[in-house]
Parts: sequence; C-alpha cells; structure tokens
Amino acid sequence: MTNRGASTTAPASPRAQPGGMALRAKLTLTSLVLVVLTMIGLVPFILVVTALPLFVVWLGVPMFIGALLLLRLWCDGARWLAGSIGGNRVPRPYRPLPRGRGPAAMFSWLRVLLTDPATWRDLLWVLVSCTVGFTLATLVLTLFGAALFYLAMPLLLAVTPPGIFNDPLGPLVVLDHWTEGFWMWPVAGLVVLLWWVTTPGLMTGWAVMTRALLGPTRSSRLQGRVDSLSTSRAETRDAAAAELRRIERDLHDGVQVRLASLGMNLGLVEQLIRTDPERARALLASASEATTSTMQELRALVRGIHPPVLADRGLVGAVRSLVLDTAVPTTLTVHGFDDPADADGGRPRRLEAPVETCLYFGVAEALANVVKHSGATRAGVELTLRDGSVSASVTDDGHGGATVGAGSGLAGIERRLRAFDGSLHLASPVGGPTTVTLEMPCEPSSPKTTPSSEKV
Amino acid sequence: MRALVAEDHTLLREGLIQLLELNGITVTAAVADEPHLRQALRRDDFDIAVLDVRLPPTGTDEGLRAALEIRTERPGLPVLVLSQYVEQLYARELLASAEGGVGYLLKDRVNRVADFVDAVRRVAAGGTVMDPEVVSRLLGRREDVLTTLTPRERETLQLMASGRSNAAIAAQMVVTESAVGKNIAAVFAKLGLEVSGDDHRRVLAVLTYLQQS
Repeated sequence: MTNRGASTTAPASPRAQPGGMALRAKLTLTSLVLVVLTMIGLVPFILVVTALPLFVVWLGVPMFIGALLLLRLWCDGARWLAGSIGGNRVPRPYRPLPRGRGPAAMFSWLRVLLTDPATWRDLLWVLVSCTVGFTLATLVLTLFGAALFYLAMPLLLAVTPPGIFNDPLGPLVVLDHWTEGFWMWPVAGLVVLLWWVTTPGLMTGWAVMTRALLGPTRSSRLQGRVDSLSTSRAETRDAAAAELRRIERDLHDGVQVRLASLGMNLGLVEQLIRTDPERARALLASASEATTSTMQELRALVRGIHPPVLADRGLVGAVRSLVLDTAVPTTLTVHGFDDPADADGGRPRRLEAPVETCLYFGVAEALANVVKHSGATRAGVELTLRDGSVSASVTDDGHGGATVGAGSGLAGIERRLRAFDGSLHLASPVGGPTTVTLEMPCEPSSPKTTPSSEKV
Repeated sequence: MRALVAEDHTLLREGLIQLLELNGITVTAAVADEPHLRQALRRDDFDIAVLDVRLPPTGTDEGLRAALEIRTERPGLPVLVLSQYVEQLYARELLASAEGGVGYLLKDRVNRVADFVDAVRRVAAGGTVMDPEVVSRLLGRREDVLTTLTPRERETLQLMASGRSNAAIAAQMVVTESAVGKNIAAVFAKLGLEVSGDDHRRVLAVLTYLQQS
C-alpha cells in the first residue's frame, strides 16, 4: 500500500560518480576508446560521402542507407560513453523508421533518413568528433603518456643505448647517465598534476559537446510529442465517430422500430377494444412484452456507453460488479484507493470520469477475453492507485499466447489508453499465465457524491 | 397493507401509486428525493418501502444507500428496490443487509402487474425476491456444476433463487408441490447445501452458493 518513493527516485546525478584516482583512470581509458572510435567512425562517414555520387547508379541508395544506419550504431556508442561521463543517459533523437522492408520500401527509408535532422547532426558530429573531440581525447592521453614517459626516464636511459632518450626536453637538457633520469621526476610530477587537474574538465567538455549534437534538441523532442499527440488525437476522433455511428444504428434499428410497432399495436387496440375485446387484450399483452424487450435493448446500449454503476460507485465499485458478473471465478485486489477524506471508509477514491471509463472498459474487455479465449479456471483483477498514476491488471491461469492484435480487442484498449498517455502491457507466454496491465497517469478527484449519513 | 414509494420521475411515481392502490395497497407516503426519503423512512406508518435506486440530488445510488442504512437501523424493515438495470454488486449488498423482507427488481417487471404486486406482498411478508436477471446471470456463471442438474431441477433452482415458495414454483411449473419438494431436495443434494424450510434463508443459501468464486 505504500506507493510513495517508487516514482520519486531521482535520476542518477553526475555527482554520484567515483572521484579521485578511479574517476581519472576511467576517463583516461575512455579517451583511449574515443581515439579508437573516432578512427572507426570515419568508415561509415566515408561510406556515406562516397554513396552520394553513386546515387546516379541506384547502388548509392542502399549503400547510403546502410552507411547511415552503421553511423547511427557508432553514434549510439558515443552516446553511451557521453552518458557514462555525464551520469545521465543521452536519448536517441531519431524519428521512427518505416515498417516496410525490401527494395520497395527503400525510398520511404531514404525519405525518413534524409528529412530527419538527427541524420545531419550525426554527420556533423563525425566532423566535430574527429577534430575537436579527437584533440580533447588525445590531450588527455598525451598528458598521461608523457607522465609515464618522464617517470620511466631512469629505466629508459638504462636499457637503451646512449643517445636515444638523452634530450627529453629538447637540446637544452642532456642526460648522460641513467641516474640523471631522476632529474625528470619533478617534470613528471608537474605533468601528472596537469593531467589530474584537466582530465575531468576535458572529458566533461567532450560529453557536453556530444550531448548537444547527438541528444534530442528541444524541437525534436517537441516534434516527437506532436507526432504522438496527432496520432492519438486522430484515433480518438475516429473512435468517437465510430461510437456515435454505432449508437445511432442501434437506436434506429432497435428502439425506434420497437416503439413504432408499439404505437401501431396500441392504435389497433383502440380500434378493436369495443368490437373484439379478446384480440385487443392479446395485443395489449404483446405490447407489454414489447416494452420489456425495448427496455432490455436500451439497458444493453446504456451499459455500452457508460455503465450506470460506474457513475454510482466509481471505478472500484464498477469493477467489483464486473468481477461478480464474470463467468470465470475472479478475485479483486485494490491498492491505494482509500479516501483519506472519507471518515467511514466506505467510499473508495474517485478518479476523473474519462479515466474511470477508459479503465473500466479496458478491464471489461480483458475479462471478456479471459472468458472467451483463455480457457482459464481462475482470474484476478488488481487496481492500484499511486502518486500520479493508476493501473489495472488482469491475470488468468489460462493457456497464454495472447497477442494485442488478432481481434483480441486489446488493440482498441491500447488506442483508448494512448489518448490518456497511458499504455498497455501484455505478458502472455504460450502455456500461460497471461497478464494484461493498463496504466495511465492520473490525479484522483474528490468524491462526486458527498456522504449524507448525518445521524440525527 | 401500506407502502412508502420513492421515485423521482413523476410519471412513474404516479403510475406506481395508482397500480398499488388499485391492488389494495395504500400508499402512505410518496417522495421524490433522498432528503425526503430519509425523513419518510423514520415514520412507522408503512409495511414496505418501494424505492428507486437513483434519486436526486446526485442521481446516483442514493435510494439504495438509504435502503441499506435503514435496514441496519431498523432490521427486518421490508424494502423493495427498483432499478432500470441490475447490478450483482447491489444484489449482494441487499442480500447481505440483515434478515428478511428484501427485494431487487427491474423497473420493467412492473409491467406484469400481478407478478409485481405478488412480489411486493412477499417482500412485505419478510420474503426475498430477486430479479430473474440476477439469478440467470449467476446461473450462467456456474455452468460447470449446473450441468449436473436436469432441466426441471435447473428451472426449480432458478425460481427458488428468485424467492418463490414451493407452492408458487408448483403453480408456475404446473406440477404438484411434492414434486417440487423432491426437485428441491435433489438440487440441494447436488449443490451440497442444507435444506431449509424458510424461504429467505433458502434464497440466501442458493445465491451465496451461486456467487462463490
């Protein structure tokens, strides 16, 4: 029931890194990797550049695409390194690639790759990386190497023939004997100090530069958000329109027809009541039957639009009622719905009406799947409300193998959830068990109905 | 017999009053919202309260809540709840709310006037009346065990669960009362329940069995 904390874990801060020697050793090693990576990075870059003139013969297109994808892999490596230095992961800024494969889809791939600004930033990054980045990394390496060199001077003088390492600082200082090599240790100390002081700054500089070029820009983040919002808005609009059409059809073909025939029957009764009371009585009986079946139809329709129990009792009550109505024995577990403002504890917390409706229909669909497809003997529903998010999961002990497509109705739920920035997770290995989890952000609202049980 | 009626739609309220009065049941109070219902429920000039689940001010389940509360305050007070729709949750809450005299029916059952008046009288006499839809949905839930019942036993179980007495079941199925008794004994044996003479307890036993999950 204690749900605090789970969502409030702060991202790893850059300060929470090993300090001192370990940090510098790691950064120096990183700079070595960087120097090697920069060399390798030139390969896809050169491939991209050589592919451009080859566009004339169609070979250039697949080559260009392949080289760019290779470049992306390489940039992922650089992102990972920058993340490991900066302490925060550098997200990939790429737009989603087309689903199609093969030569037919080649030009849609080309279009997406060419129009994605991240592609050009990748290429720019290679140029920056093999100039500025390379310089930064080699500086660190050179300082480290020089420190080792001066420290090893006595040894070097001792094991090599005279005249090779005798002027380490230029012709002004000439060392003749290996013991004189120790004169270089103060210089080594100076270089180590320099390495110690500058390495974190140099490598952080590299990481900042990398993040700036390879991370998402503000506009690409917004673009991604706009894309997903437009998709979910279009889906919501289509779903709403389809729903209205369904309701219109149901009313037109069902209730309206029944009421019309009821009216006709009653008209006949009016005519027959004096001349043929027996037939009038029979017609009245059938009219009475007709109102009952019309009511049934309307009830089913209303249930499909907004179940009354959801309005009365909110998500928890409505799901409880649903669970009682499920043909497979089902248990309900509720976490975090206790209302602190409710003294007698009888009323669970209410959520915003659209959130409740969406989750209710999601759970209803999942339970219907359990009954229809899973072959389960037991099922369980779990509702969890924690800070800023609500989730419902439906588990069964059936034979598993469920998918989101394939007419399971889960695709529809996923679409509804997306309109709330929610998500659907399905875990259904063949052989079971199956768990469907619906999750969405939400803020609990105060109960719509105020308890009115004042004792007089 | 005297009844208290709570229904917010004027047309239905007037219709209900007319229907009850025509069948020899005096309506001593008719209210249209929850505050008035709560006042009226404290009076003692009625033998049964006939309530709509939804009442103003919020139009959700005030009627049901008032009914459940008054049944804890005045155990045994007969209450018949009418609704546009049947919820297993509400059926369970009503059945769990103390002994005797409780009913839960769809509003369109009022169409069959004789059956409806009979249900009112049975609840007022301390019986239990559950809408056939409650019962049939519970039956649908327990397909596994119910396949062991013969069609006659099944029909008997359904009627029994909706609160009919042996005599009423016999009349409905056009058999003798002793045949009904035999069917009931067979059903209880197959479901592993104790036979009970008391209608209310019998309904509870059956519904509890059907709701077990």
